Amino acid sequence: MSRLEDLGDRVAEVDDARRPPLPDPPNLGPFKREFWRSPLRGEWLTAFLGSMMLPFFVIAALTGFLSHAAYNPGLGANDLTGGFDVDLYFFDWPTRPVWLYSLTQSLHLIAGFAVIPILLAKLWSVIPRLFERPPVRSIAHSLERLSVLLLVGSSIFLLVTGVMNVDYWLGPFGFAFLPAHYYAAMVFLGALALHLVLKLPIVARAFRREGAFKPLGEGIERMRRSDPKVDGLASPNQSEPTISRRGLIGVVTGGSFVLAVMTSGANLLGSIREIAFLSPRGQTGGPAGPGDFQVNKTAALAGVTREMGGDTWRLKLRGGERELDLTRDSLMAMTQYTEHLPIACVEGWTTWQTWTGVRLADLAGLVGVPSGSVVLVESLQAGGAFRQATLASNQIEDEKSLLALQVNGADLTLDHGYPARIIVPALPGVHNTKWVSRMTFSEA
Amino acid sequence: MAEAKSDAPVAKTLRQRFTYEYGAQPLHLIALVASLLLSGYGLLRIDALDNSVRIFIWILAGALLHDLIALPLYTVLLKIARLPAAVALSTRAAANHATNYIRVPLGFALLTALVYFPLIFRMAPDEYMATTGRSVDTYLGRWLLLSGVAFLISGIAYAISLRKEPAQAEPDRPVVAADDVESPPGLLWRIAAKVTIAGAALAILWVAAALVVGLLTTGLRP
Repeated sequence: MSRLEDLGDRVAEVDDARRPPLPDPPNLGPFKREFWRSPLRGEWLTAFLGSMMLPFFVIAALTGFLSHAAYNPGLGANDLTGGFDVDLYFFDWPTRPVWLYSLTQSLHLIAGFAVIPILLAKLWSVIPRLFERPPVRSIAHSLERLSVLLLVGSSIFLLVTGVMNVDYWLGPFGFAFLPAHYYAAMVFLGALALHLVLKLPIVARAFRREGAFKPLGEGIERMRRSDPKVDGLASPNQSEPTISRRGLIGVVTGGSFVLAVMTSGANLLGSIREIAFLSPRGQTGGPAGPGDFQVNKTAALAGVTREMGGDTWRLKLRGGERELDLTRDSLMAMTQYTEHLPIACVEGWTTWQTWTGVRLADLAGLVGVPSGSVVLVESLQAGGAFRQATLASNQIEDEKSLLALQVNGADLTLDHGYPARIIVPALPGVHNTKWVSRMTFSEA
Repeated sequence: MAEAKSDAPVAKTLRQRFTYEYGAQPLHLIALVASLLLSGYGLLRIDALDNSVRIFIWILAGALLHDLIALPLYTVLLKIARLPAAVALSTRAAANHATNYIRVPLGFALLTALVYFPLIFRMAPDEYMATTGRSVDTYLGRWLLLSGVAFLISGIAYAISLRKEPAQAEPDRPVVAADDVESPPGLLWRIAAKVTIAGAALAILWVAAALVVGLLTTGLRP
């Protein structure tokens, strides 16, 4: 007996349990097993779709937590999740490779979008279970159904909030996206872990019975029927199929692939943005010139005007006892460095540009702070969670970290952060503060 | 659980009483409690957020809206998609065959509409403009174009498929027997692993290809 079968015996429901004294729903409509007629439904289809989803969910979960780590939640007011009781993020987010955050966040978005059609098909394959009779067979069964409710609810919640956030339509929700998405992921992972323990033996059973890949070789002519006597998801009243299981999985994979391609077009493939045909960041064109690339939050939205960054603007450098107010001309007079770096947004889009400005390390040197210091960067922007960000010492000391004054050989445009903005390798986009007004260095 | 039967009689009755009252063996309860601890922590943290009631409602509403409204709705839509073929074609096999050339592009149009409807149907044009500096108006046209192309490709594929042999009317369908596939011990692990690995490999292959192309075209420029 294999260990998986052994596990199956240990976690399976028993037949002769005490049944709670609840009335059954009438044996009518969707509550009748014969109501569900698709010959495609069966343990094999559900098991296969579930197995397809798993790698995507693992990738999305890992990259999601990595994204939280990339914000260096231990520093300043960087953490927007309401404070984590236990600091799980024991490492400083690295600055190499420079495309690290672009990669992890692209993976997060690609995995999340790609899983949508698979999840829809998987939920379709198990919908008769929602109407099973009796609705509660035992205490174990009722708790398991509660956990499935959490699993379905949280997975849909994660996908819907994630997608609506990148589509810029969170109005109807009325809550902050970031902490809700973050903690819903924990609800999801807890429920998913139980689901895996309880269902893996059933997956193995279905694959052994029908062959893990064998049904993929069966077109609509040769498709076998699942036996409702041994297969809890098979219909006892099967209609003639209009598509094979192979066909359904092909269509689902195709949909998944199209969404993955469109998502990656604005991400890893920033250079071929045209294939992100329907993605919110798939638009190219606009005013030609050195400032023609994706904007995250316009100056108008941030309430920043040209006058605020005009002649009266000073960069206020603070470090220990020292205070320096620098004009833009004096910043331009310092040694300028040019770096080709990406802005990688949490919403899953990337744009590579060539930035010119002064090194953060040189600015730290001006106020003479000791190495290992951190810096609080504040913007001219009056409000919003990202009007400020705290950068770690490895980010200040990296030679590619700049306070950029120019992009692609011309002064920054107002939308891209004029008079000066932060650009740090592998840093989440919104932490590359635009319209910088003040930098306060302090010992960590 | 052959070993359990040789346990002391007291332990046996205790375990049997437990499984009768609870409905499964103790391991089920242990796994369930462990799972609910993590989920419960997430729920507690959500409870501490602003407007937490709305978040709980949306978690519940998501499941209910999908199961009771979205799923029946698209099932009916995909069934309606069969009508033109059923009316126009005389045999059931021919109608079934034609149906998928309507259903697949329709499903594609529905899927992309589901994912991008706030852009396509201009749910928040001002927010989009304020955030990106661009107009959201282009998306309806893009979606109609893409869906149109999907239907066009499907139509061409249907025309090509008609040149082949027509489908057999009502084929015999074998029922999967309980012991259809023989398996030596340990095979279960391998087949469960196989599918997971196949899925992971597909995902990784695509991402790796995208990464290589992306870096070659942008990231590695001096």
